[in-house]
Amino acid sequence: MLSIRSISAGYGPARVLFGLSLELRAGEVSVILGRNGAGKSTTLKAVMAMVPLSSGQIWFSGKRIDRCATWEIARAGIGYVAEERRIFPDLSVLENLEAGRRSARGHGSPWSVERIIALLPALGPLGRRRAGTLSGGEQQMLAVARTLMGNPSCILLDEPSEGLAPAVVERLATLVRTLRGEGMAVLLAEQNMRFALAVSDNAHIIEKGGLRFSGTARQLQEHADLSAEYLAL
Amino acid sequence: MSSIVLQFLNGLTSASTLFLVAAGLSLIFGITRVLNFAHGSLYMLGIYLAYSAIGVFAGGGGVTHAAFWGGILIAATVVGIVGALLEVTVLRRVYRSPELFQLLATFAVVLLAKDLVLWLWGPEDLLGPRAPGLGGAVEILGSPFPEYDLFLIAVGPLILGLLWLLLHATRWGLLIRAATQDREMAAALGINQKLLFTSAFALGAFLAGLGGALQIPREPAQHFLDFTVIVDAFVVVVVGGMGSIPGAFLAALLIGEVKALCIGIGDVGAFGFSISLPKLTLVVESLVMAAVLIFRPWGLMGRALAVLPDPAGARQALLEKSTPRMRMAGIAIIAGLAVTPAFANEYSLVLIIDILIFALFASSLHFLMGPSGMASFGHAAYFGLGAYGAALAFKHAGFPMEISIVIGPVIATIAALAFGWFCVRLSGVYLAMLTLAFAQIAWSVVYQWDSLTGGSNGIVGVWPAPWLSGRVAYFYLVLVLCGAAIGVLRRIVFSPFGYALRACRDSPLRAAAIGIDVRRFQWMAFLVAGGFAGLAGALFAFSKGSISPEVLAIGQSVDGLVMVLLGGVQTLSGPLVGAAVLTWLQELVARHIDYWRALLGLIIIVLVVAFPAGIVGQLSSRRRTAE
Ligand SMILES: Nc1ncnc2c1ncn2[C@@H]1O[C@H](COP(=O)(O)OP(=O)(O)O)[C@@H](O)[C@H]1O
Ligand SMILES: [Mg+2]
Repeated sequence: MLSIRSISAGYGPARVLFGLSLELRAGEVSVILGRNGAGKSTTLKAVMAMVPLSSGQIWFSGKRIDRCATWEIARAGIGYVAEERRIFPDLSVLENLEAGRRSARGHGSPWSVERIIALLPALGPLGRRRAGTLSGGEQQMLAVARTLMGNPSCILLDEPSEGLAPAVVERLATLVRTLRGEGMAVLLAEQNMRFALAVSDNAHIIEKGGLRFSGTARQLQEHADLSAEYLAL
Repeated sequence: MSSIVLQFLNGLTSASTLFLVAAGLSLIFGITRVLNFAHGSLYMLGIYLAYSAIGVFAGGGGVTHAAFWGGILIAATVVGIVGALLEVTVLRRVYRSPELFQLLATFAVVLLAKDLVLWLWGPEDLLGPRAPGLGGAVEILGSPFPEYDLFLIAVGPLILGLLWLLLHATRWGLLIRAATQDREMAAALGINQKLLFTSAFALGAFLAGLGGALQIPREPAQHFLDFTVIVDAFVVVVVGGMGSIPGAFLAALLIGEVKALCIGIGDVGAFGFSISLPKLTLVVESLVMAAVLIFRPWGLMGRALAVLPDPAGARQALLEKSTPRMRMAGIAIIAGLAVTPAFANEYSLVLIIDILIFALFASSLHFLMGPSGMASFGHAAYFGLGAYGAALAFKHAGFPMEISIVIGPVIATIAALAFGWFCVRLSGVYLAMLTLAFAQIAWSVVYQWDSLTGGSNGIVGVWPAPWLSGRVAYFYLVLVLCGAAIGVLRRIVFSPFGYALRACRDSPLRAAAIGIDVRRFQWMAFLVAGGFAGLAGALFAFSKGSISPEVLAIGQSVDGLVMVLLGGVQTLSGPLVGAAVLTWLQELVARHIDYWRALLGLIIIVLVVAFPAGIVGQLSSRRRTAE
């Protein structure tokens, strides 16, 4: 469904990714693991055209998207949840959700505020609160919920578990499994191995902007040496 | 008592107009992050269009309600459409360019609009009709007050309410607010920014046009309204907080009342001086702005601006040390200039002197904008104070020319010391606006202080010493001093001080962490830039023999900006090329073509669209890719 084909990308003169390739199939959860600064966020941003590619291609649902603008990529069905969450702080929770709303593209049942709140009950009572006043965990849930309102068929989550209490991480894991159950493709960027491997089918390790390992989550668990080498465990 | 009440009401009236213009400017800035210099021109267009539209609708007969209000609405709508066209044809192409480039593009539109107005309506003031049914006056505390002004007082809050509804009760408004807070994230949610930007621009332009059109019964349509209005609107937007509509309303009230108060108080005498406050409204306004910015750096209701992503990597661009080839080229140019007097005529020599002086002026501004990362909209202050300092030392204090030419830069440095201390407390657009405010203060003081500066007549008879009085001798003086000064500036850029400045620019936090006193370094940068601009000003004064307040007016600052941006901020040779190109163009075009401003505007637009990194910046990046 999402195919990243040997992309190179970076910020101005600073190159970060060097010929990175990844595949993500529908209904599959994959995780990109790697140390701080390895290029995980840059990979997700490259998919969203938030950093320019210097070479390589990105395909989504049979269409080439690496020449598209960010908003066109989002409308094609890729949802993105930024590492810094980037909720709109001055908008209320409901307004944040409304800003993310886009009509469904046919597959699965469309997301609505009611359905979101049924899935994430914590957001229920917060509707009129200014999003900037929410706690970190609440902001993370809101960021995911806002992206879901766009009815994506593939969602990119950048370190969603970062800085969250274990109980909240647990809820997040349930959420990711639910999305997978809906047939959605999920691409995670993570440093939290435990959370990542608990929800993922496949795992990729990147280091200095290149792929070092690609396989199933189970294979990675069996290779303790890999984790030691690339993940600073 | 009644006069104070009337002045208060007058303040409210002008606050309404200010708000209309500033609200549009703020709305546009909030979402597109473009500071639209052309907003005053849109206002001016509104007033002219209303004049014509009402004339056409009235068709020679009396001005009916339908003709008057229809004309105003048509005028505002046309201005809104013009705004949308501007966005689509010009601004859309420069959103990815550095902030200041966008400013340059909007400034080019100012030039175009000015000539368009002159061409369509001529240079005379045009007095519009009174509003039907609102032409009379009502009695307030025994004094008459125009009905139409009362109506205008109501328009401000009315528009504020409508805008609030639009922003809070429609999906369009929601998306505008979302994109204003985080435009990149809004795009990642699938929000099509093109439509938002165009519509915001159209609405902002409509408001400016409406603000202008509504003035038609109160003031004549004049072709210099663009500058007066844009400066006022900038002040209001900055005081209110960029992007905040309620902030703009509050600030419009504040500024409107402050101005009315100045006019109400009239002349005051103190310490043997008589100060005419009505003439000093701009100074008082600027002081209010400076005070607000110092205590609330983001304006009354604004907040810190999120840093936009920088896909082009413009901020990381490093200044490259000169290669041997470039050094050879530099030496060749200087050698070429040194032998010019042998074959150049008087006219070209004067042109080259101008170019050299402006090359120094632009280099000093570049030092502030490039390596130090501080955009100044008021660099003419130092150029002008250098010129006036030298001229006054020569004419009034009786110093010889050789000493006067040193006193000029000293005065400019002292001004930079004072202004810079405040400016370095801010950053980005706010800093730029504060520099503009200080420049306006300096201009007003020079303009007002008739007894010392000669007011609008300026100072005449500022001639060089006999041994330098020939064109050729003065040419060599300018060549040596400007060449040396530009060389020194270059050295400073690559000195430890220059590296520290770039560290402050690129990551102030990290610079502070390794023990650099960021503000102090930036303050020093102000001194350096101010001093060298002052030297350019002093040389300018003696090359012309006379100076007028024009040398520190906003137009002079804008010229400097255009030179730096035209050449490219990322390169050291950029300002030199920019100065040469602009000075030569102005000279050439102004002499042969009536509508030279429009032509210059068009050239700038083409350059900005074709060379988003400036002329030299573009050439050197081509070279880099070629290598
Ligand atoms: N906006 C930026 N400008 C310049 N360099 C950046 C920027 N963002 C990240 N980098 C650099 O790119 C590299 C990869 O960063 P990132 O993709 O954020 O890593 P990760 O998400 O794996 O921690 C790092 O070396 C980082 O310093
Ligand atoms: Mg990251």
